[in-house]
Amino acid sequence: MNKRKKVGKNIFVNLLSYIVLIVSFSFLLFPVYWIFTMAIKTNPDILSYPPKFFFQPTIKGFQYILGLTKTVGATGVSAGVESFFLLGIKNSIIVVVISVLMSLAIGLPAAYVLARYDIKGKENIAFTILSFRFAPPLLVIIPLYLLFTKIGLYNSYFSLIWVYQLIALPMIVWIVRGYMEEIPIEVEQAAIVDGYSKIWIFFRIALPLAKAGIAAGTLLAFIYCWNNFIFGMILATVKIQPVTVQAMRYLTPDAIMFREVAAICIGAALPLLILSIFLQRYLISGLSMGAIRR
Amino acid sequence: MPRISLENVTKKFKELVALNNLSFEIKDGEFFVILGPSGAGKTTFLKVIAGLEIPENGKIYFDGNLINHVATPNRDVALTFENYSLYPHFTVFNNIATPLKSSVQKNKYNKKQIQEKVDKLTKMLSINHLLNRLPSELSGGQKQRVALGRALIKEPQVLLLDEPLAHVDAKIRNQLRTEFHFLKEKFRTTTIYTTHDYKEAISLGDRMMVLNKGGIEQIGIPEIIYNFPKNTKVALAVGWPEINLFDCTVDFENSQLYCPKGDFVFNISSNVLKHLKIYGKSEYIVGIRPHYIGFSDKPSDTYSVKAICGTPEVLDNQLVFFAKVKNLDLNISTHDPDLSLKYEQELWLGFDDQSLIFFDKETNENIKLKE
Amino acid sequence: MASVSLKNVYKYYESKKGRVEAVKNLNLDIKDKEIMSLLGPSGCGKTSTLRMIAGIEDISKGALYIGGILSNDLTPSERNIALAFEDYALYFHLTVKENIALCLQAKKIKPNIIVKKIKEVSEMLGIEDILDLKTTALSGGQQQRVSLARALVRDPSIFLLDEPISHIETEKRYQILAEIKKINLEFGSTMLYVTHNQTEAVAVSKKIGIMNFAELQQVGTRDEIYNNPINLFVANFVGEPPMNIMKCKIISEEDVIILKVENCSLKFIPEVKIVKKLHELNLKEAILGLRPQNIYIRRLSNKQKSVKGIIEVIEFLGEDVNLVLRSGDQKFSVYCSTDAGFKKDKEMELFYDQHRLHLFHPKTEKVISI
Repeated sequence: MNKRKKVGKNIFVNLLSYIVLIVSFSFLLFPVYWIFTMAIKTNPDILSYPPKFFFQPTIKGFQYILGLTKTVGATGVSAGVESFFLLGIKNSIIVVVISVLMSLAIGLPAAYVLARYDIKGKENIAFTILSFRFAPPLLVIIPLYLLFTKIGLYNSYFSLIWVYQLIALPMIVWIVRGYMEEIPIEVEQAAIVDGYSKIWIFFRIALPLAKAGIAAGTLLAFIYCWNNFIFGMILATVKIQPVTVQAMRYLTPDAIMFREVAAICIGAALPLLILSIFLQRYLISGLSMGAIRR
Repeated sequence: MPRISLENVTKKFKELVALNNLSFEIKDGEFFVILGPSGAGKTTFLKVIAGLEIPENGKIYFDGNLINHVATPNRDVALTFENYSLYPHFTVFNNIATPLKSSVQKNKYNKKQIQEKVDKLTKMLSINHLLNRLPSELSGGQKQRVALGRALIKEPQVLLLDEPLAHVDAKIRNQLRTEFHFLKEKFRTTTIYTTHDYKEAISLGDRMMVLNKGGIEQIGIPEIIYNFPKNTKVALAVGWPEINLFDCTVDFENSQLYCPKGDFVFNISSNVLKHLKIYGKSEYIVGIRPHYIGFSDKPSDTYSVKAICGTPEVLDNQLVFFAKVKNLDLNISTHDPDLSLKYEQELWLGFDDQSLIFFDKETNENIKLKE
Repeated sequence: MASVSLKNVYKYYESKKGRVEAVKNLNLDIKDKEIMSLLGPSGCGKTSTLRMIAGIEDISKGALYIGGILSNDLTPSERNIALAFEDYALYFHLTVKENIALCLQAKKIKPNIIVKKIKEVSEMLGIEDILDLKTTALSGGQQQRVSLARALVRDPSIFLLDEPISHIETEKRYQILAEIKKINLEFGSTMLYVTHNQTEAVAVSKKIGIMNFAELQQVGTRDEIYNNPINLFVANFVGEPPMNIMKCKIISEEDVIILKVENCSLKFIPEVKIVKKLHELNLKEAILGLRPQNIYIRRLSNKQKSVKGIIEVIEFLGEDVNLVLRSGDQKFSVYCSTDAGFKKDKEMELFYDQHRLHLFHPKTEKVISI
């Protein structure tokens, strides 16, 4: 093949690759884009058909969900609207952060034991933990509701944190276990020969070397807990409900506040985005350790 | 630097017998080398001495004290792993300092003393300039020295080195092997060093052991192992090119040996004949090392066996070639790489009968060691 | 015809730190049907060179000629080359036979011809008895043979091998090298063998090229490189144990020009012809090289000169003995083939031939020759 043909072929292939990338990218991100535009449109613009891609943006939606808009009540007194968004964020943070911390406290030692020790029925235990992820929450939600109301745990942070373990724990145990199994046993044996205890080895060898797995597991656990809707909706009232459920409150009997719902979606996703960016560093650094020969 | 004694030590991994009923002794302060191919049980042996593996059977003593039930941190041993197993997230300094900070050391050293000790040791190992690097930033040879540093820093009574030169570039390996001679003087411990390279074993060991499939083939000083191998396995394990082994029948009347495979005879002295007569048999496996076979381009009394020369190769410092005598291929080597031998040239071979080793055809054992 | 010729070839990589030159101004010729080794330490550029000839890396600058035809832009299959790598790269889910047959099937060759070719190639490499085994059940040596068979069956005109025996059991290594040489003899494929191990390079080919820091240092037979190294790097790299290298000052003693080694009492006397050259170059210092194999424990001729040293280490190596001696601060090795009663700390007299001394320029490290 002569040079000219080859260069032509290369350009064509490159162009095609870009087109494919742009198309898939657009397809995947379109809903996000649309919701974002919805959050900054005026109500008529949201509902207009054909859909408007060019419009005058407004931040009224965000102001409303943050409780910055003032309304005049029946008595003529002006007050700020209640911010379901901020209440939801507060609840989400409390429940999800504590849930994830709890699953780390339980899951990390569990992962280590499953990786290193030879106990009877080890694989059965491991699989049981994983199976929590298989069951759709819908399956257990009604029994849990009945159980929790009976023992007085309805509408408490504790019940949500407890139930969220079903989501977070398997994630952490399975991912971190894999990373810990990758650590050569001889690094730990070297520490034993150097005179250290298993506890020291757990904290100073196993955990640091499984950093990437812990970051990955934490991030996934956080995302799945944060995004959970059903547990919060059934097992709690508005006082305790996380931001995912609070979004529903903008679907009022008077009006469906599309813009505000869109705004709260964007707002609810923001903490996740920030966390991912922060943890990304650990995900990458964990992959570049070459101390053991290869 | 204790004397280490083993009595009937056996270690199994499910069905596999890794160490088979080992009983022997390593002397106080000795540099003891274990030679064996991969899978022979060398690493398992070191781990059993360290206490990282528990034997199914048998007793281990340090200076007469039973240590089977003593936990690893209390045995005062140090181990370097074949893969170095450095702490990947600690700097070189911390890797080496870590053994001094463990609770077993009972806070013997303060920060300043640790700094001094590490400095001194790393200077000796020529890695003093790498203290702030991470293991991933080091070359194979450098990692090797750090692993050594970590083992030596606590001045253990027993030093265990698992194939320390196995994964280093060929060029550096030879250099480090020579360096080990200098380092040897500075360690004042009983050392067990394992390897699959016979050169390391015979060069470094005060005494050495040939280990095969978990069993001891022979223990002795390197010169004995090389010149008086106990059986054909040991003879093949040391030396390169490999020793030549071929079947022979003794002609007692004519003081000759006849080799059926090559269909040739050669004379042996009355001395050698006497030993064979005493042993009693008439068929043996004869071993002769490649550099003990002499050759000439003309036949004579000394060089009487006709052979065809294979392609000569200069490898390392020897000229090595195959010589074909009918159906028998012999390895021959010489230190004169400037000889001009040609492929398919005719040669006449001579066997120095003082360097012949005779093995019993049934047991494969060296007849000299039976006396 | 499959000669390979590289003319002024460069290979650049763009990295965060700027441009990295992996191969610099390489001029290399491999004759049709010739087998050549490319030897050098890790990172010297030998693998990049191989990959450029293969076509799996672009040539940044310069020309590659295969069989006299400019081939920079040809794809690997258009160049008709076969590759054998360190890690075999076999298809794990297939048997040996299927692995070998796969590429022929892709070329739509008739089944009966495929069978014939597989038979031919498996006989040559001694793998007839493992044709039906899955590749995962094979040893390293067997896997490499299958990898070679798979490459061979395509009748390549050029064979490129990158450290093919580094993971093979020691007993089988030289056997595979012998088979590689057989392939070159019987099939007539031009071969380039890349390695960092000098014993392999010497065993596999007559012609050896040595690379370091992206540049080709020297090309020649083992003897040429060993006896006439072109610079300090080559002198030090080839030869085991490595050449003794000592810094020395050029001084005059009783009207004789001698080389006095720094920090000790060793004095070497160079040949008169070299002395003239040293004078021309106006040098006060030089780097001296003398191979341990060229230092003797007994005087072999009247022409030989001598030095003295104290034995520090005696390395018994079975067939040979490696001595490390010391004189002042300088250590040097002597390699001998007997174990004639050496004792540590004993002083010994050692002999050498003047023409075996290698002198290198202290700044350029190039050899000083007549």
